[in-house]
This record gives sequence, C-alpha cells and structure tokens, in this order.
Amino acid sequence: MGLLAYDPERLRQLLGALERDTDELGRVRIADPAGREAAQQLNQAVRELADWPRTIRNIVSCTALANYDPVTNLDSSNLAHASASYLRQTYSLLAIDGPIGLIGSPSTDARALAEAIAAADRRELLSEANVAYLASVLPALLADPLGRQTFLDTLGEDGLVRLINHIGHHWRVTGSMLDPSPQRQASLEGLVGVLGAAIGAGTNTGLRSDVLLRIDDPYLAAVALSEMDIDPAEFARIAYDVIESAGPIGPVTTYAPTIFGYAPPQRMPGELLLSMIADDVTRSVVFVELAAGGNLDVLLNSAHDFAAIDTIIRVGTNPANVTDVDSAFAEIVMPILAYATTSLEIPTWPSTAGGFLGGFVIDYPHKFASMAGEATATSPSAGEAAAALRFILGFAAAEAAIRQGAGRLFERLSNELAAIAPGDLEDLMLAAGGTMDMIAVLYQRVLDAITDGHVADAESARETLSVLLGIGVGAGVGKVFGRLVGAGLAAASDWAGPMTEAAINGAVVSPNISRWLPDPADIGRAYAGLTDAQLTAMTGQMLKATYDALISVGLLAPSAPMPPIPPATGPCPGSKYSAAVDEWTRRLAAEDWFVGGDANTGVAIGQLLGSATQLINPTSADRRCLEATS
Amino acid sequence: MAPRSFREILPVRVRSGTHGGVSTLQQQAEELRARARRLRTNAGTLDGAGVHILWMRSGSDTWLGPKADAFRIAARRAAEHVEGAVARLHGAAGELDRRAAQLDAAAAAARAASPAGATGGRR
Repeated sequence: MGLLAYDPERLRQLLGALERDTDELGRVRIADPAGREAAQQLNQAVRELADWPRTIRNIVSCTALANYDPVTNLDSSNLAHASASYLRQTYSLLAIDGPIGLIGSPSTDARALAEAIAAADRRELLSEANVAYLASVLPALLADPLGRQTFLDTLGEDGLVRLINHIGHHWRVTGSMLDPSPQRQASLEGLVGVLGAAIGAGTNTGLRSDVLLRIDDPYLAAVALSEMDIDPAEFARIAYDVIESAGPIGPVTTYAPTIFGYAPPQRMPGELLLSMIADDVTRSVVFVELAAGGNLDVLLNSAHDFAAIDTIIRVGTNPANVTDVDSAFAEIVMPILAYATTSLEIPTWPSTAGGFLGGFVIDYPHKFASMAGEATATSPSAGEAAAALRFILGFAAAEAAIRQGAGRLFERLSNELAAIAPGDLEDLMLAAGGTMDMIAVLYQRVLDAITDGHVADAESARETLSVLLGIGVGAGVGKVFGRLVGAGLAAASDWAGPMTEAAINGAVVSPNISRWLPDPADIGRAYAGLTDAQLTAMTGQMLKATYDALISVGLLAPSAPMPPIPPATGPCPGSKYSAAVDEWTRRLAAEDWFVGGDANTGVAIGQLLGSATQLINPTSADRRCLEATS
Repeated sequence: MAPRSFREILPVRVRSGTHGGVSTLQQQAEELRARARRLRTNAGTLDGAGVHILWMRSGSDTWLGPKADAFRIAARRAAEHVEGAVARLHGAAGELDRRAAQLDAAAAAARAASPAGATGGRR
C-alpha cells in the first residue's frame, strides 16, 4: 500500500502548461532537409509528453486510475496515512490510497514518516499494519543518504531512543509465554537492525553510542550495533559498553520453569557481539584492552560462546597485534590470568574452553618463565605464578594449545637467536642459555603440575613436557650449536657437553625429538668453512660429551668402552673416524653396554649419535677431503 | 551529429563557365541564406518554448508519488530533446551560411575571369 498526493489546483495548472507546451512544439514545422535531425529530436520531445496530458487530466478529474481510492478520512493510527496527513498539512496535498510505493522524494517521505512516528499514539505505533508498512518502506528509505539523514535528524536522539525502546517493549512481549509470536519478534528485531544500520551510516557519529546506550534492552542495542558498518575500534568500544550494561551472563542457559511454563533464557548482547568482535583483529585488540583495563566480566563472563572468547583473547594478546609487548603482558595478559585464576572455576568451563591460557605460555614465553621461576626477593609472587601455570594446565584445551603452539614458539625462539649478529658469540650464548633456562622453568612447572595432580590428563601433560624439552633442545641447542661451530671450534667444544646432556634429557622424554633438531642442510651450511680435520676433531669431542652424558643420566654403564679418538694426522680423517665410530656403536649395542631406558630411549640415543656424527658422514667427509686434496 | 550529404546543404547544381553563371551563383547563395534564416527562426521558436521549464511546474508542491517522478523525468527529457534540436538547427544554418559564402567567392572569381571583367591582369 502507498499513497499518491497532489494539489488539485497546481496540478490543473501543470496540465494547462503541458497542453500549451505540447501544442507549441507541434506547431513548429522544420521543412528544410538540412534540419532533418533537428526535426527528429523535436518529434522525440513531443512523443515524450504525448501521453501525459491524458494521465494528468484523469488524475485531476479523479475518474481514472481506478485502482486508487481517494482517502477521505486519513487514519492517524496508520503510519502511511499519518505520513500523508503530514504532507497534506505541509503542502496542502490531497492523498489517494493505492498500490504504489513511497510517496515522494526520499527526503520528503523520510520527513513525513519521522513526523508521523513522533506524533503517533504509542498504543497504535506498532500495530500489525504499521510494522508491515515500516518493514516495507524503511529499508529503501534509509538506504538513501538524503532520506536516511532526514529521518535521523527529524526523529533526533530522543525520538530514536523512544522508537527503539517501544519496539523493544513489543519485542519482549512477543518473546514471552503470554503472547509468543516468533515471526513478529523477528520482524521487530529486523526493524531495530534497519534503524541501527541507518544510525551507523548517519553523519552524526555521536548518535551511535548515545542512542545505543539508552536502549532499555542491551540485546536490542547489540542487534542495532551488529548492523552498523563502522570503524572496528569504535565498534569494539560501543560493544564493550553495551555488553557491560547487560551485566554478567546468568547461569540459566536453557528454558527456566515458571508458573506459566518454561521461560526462554534472556538473550545477552555478548552472545551476539563476541563472535563479531572475534572476526576482526582491530575489534579484538581494542575490546581486550578495554576489558583488561576495565571489567573483565565483559570479556570472560558475558557469553557462553567460548570459541569467540578464545579467539578474541588470542588475537587481542598476540604479540604481533599489540603495540608494546611488555605493557601488553603487564596490563592485559596478567589481569586476564588473575581474573581467570580467581574467578573461573574449572567445572563451569567446558573442556574445550581456556585454550587462550595455553596461548599465553606460547606467546609470552620469556615473561611467563621469569614470572613462574623460583621465588626471589625481586619476584615474591613466583609462587602465585607457578600456581597460575598449574591452573592453566588444568584446562585440557590450554595444554593442547601449548602443544599446538609449539611450532610457533620454536620458530619465535629460533628467530630471536638468529637475529643476534653472527659475531656476537657472547650474546648468542647468553640468549641460548636464557632460552634453555626459560624452557627449564616451564618444564619444571609442568612437571610439578603432573606431580601435584593439577593436570587434566597426566599422559597428555607428559607429552607437553616432551614438546617443551624438544623446543628447548631444538631452539636453544640445535640451532645455536650449528652457528657456534661455524663461528669457532673452541667455543663449540666448550658447549658440546652441556648441550649434549640437555639433548639427551630431551630425547629420553620425547621420542619425537628429531622434529626439533637442526636441519642437516643448516648444519652443512654452518660447517661449510671448516676443514675435514677440524670437523673430525669436533665430532670426537661431541661423542666424548655424549658418552659422559649417557653415563651421567644412567643410560650407559660407567665402564662402557670410550668412543674412539679422532686421528690426529693423515689425509681424509673424517672417513676413517666415521668407520671407527660405527664400529664403536655396534660394539656398545652388541655387548649390552646400554642400560635402563626403553625402546624410545634406544631410538633417541641412536638419533643423538647420528646427529653428532653428521659432521663426518662418509659422503660429505669424502667430498670435503677430495676438495681439500685436489 | 550524423554526417550530412553535400546534396542536403547545396541541392542546386552550380553551373559555371559562362558569364550568365555569375548571377546564378549569387541567386543560389541568397537561397542558402534564406534557408539559414528560416532554420534560425525555428531555433528561436523552440528556444523560447515553455517545455524548458515544464518540469519546474511539477515539483513536490504540486504532486508527489511515482507518477510525479515519472512525469518530471519525461519533462526533463523532452526539454533536452528540444535543446538538442535547437543546437542542430543553429549548426545546420551555419553550414548553409558557409556554403553561401563559398558561392559568393565562386561568383566573384567568375566575374574576374570573364572578358568583361578582365580589365587588368592578363593580355
């Protein structure tokens, strides 16, 4: 349904002018052949207007357009009629009811509709007919920039709030047990969405939060916000305020019994908005900052959408997304952790939740390790931090996140070490030592948690341990070791013992240690500048260190044969030494010098020895030897 | 504008080579000028036609609705067509005037080449 409106006298004048003008054009005769094109254009002009005199005459005499009924008594409770009434008062126009769309230009219509809404009787404003009318005309009207702005300006902040709150009242009624009508409720929600989109696109940016925060039902404010295509940071800020205004989510997530039957759960804004925030990096970063600095209930206790919460925190605390890692840890990660350890009870969160806690360990390893280290005068809260780590490991998802993020952590640590200038051996060793220490602290805390029974799954936690050790060995030892060897034999020799022992520890726990050991290609490049004799001597020292370490950890009998000594002179020592080492390892196995351990241990030791002798594997040793002698 | 044929602009064949051709050329030039004047008169009539302001009489103070919008569009298009016709009429008149000037020049040349007109130049 729509309306056509006109001023009879002015329309009659228009008809007269049209008839005069078409007659005037018809009298012009262009006979000259040179004016043929002009004559054609003139004929087109005449044709454009040819049918209009009859059409307008019919409207003026009100005998044609049979589908249209003159509206003699405009019903003020009908928004369409009320809009027409406004037009009649403003422009002295007559109204005809008929099957047409909006009445006039978008701005005229928008003004008329807004005035009609503002003046409408609240009892009739959202009648079935009016809701249908609004649903049919509002989207198109508010999609037009001029129409939208006119509508917003005419209603103003107060008018918009009143309208949305009135819609909210009906929305709640239709969602209740007294008058359930899901279809009508969806229509009303749709109207709020259309209004929200218009407010979001309006030129008055202050209107967005001003209106939304005055909406009685925060869920409807969320509906309006969800349709706003606005700057992601602003979206996050308004979302934070809207969700906070709703308060923490209640424990009731299913239909609750009442004297009328079962009541639907209250719909919370967080349930709608958190997933939208999680979809955008900027929204997540801003939202997490606001919550960490304000009310963490808004983030952690506003919805049961654990996947969205997890994503928001992971994205919002990812070092790649924050401007300052130190302050992000202190001002965002730590508050979240503190909130989690004091406010979250494990049973209230499903096993799939809490992965972000493990993400903290992966994303902030140095901070976390130093925080979780032994209590000192300068770090009195170490005990609490260790408890926090135990708490984290209580979430299967968090522990899984540590394992899943191991590759990321390994890459990060390796990159940190690789970023140290090649000549800064001391710095490199300090950093490598720091990495090892850090992993050791984490290792110890995981071990404590297993021992204390604070883990969800001890078997799974042991795998986490092995992963941590693997990372430590791979990043702290493997990568650095190659560079040390490449930089100077003496320095590498000094490190061979402790590194090998660490590697053995890791290998014993983790049969998959080889995942984290240095790539043979990397080793090849690192050793490229060394002679066959140097590498052979190096291998001898590493094997001796390995031998000592195996005895130290109880995997090799103390009286086992010593590894062979590298040949001090002669050509091509690598090949010769490789053969001697093979003979030695075969003897160790054949004579049962290995003690303790299991099948995994055997595999790990084999990998370690193989790794140590990569320096002199026959193929590359022969090649280097040939190159040196040719 | 579509290319126009020479016949449209100059339907009268030019005869030359005789002394009598000079006056014919002058007559033809006059005819072209007369045609140009008539075209300009048509253009003037159309230029002052009321159709140019017809759409202004159809504003929202007169009527509102899809029919009103459609009429405004039609009235604007009609005015644009008339403006185009006026431009073409002026263009065609200009062409005729230029052709008339060429005939004037041809007549002057013919006069100069005729025995009666050859008083100086050649022996």
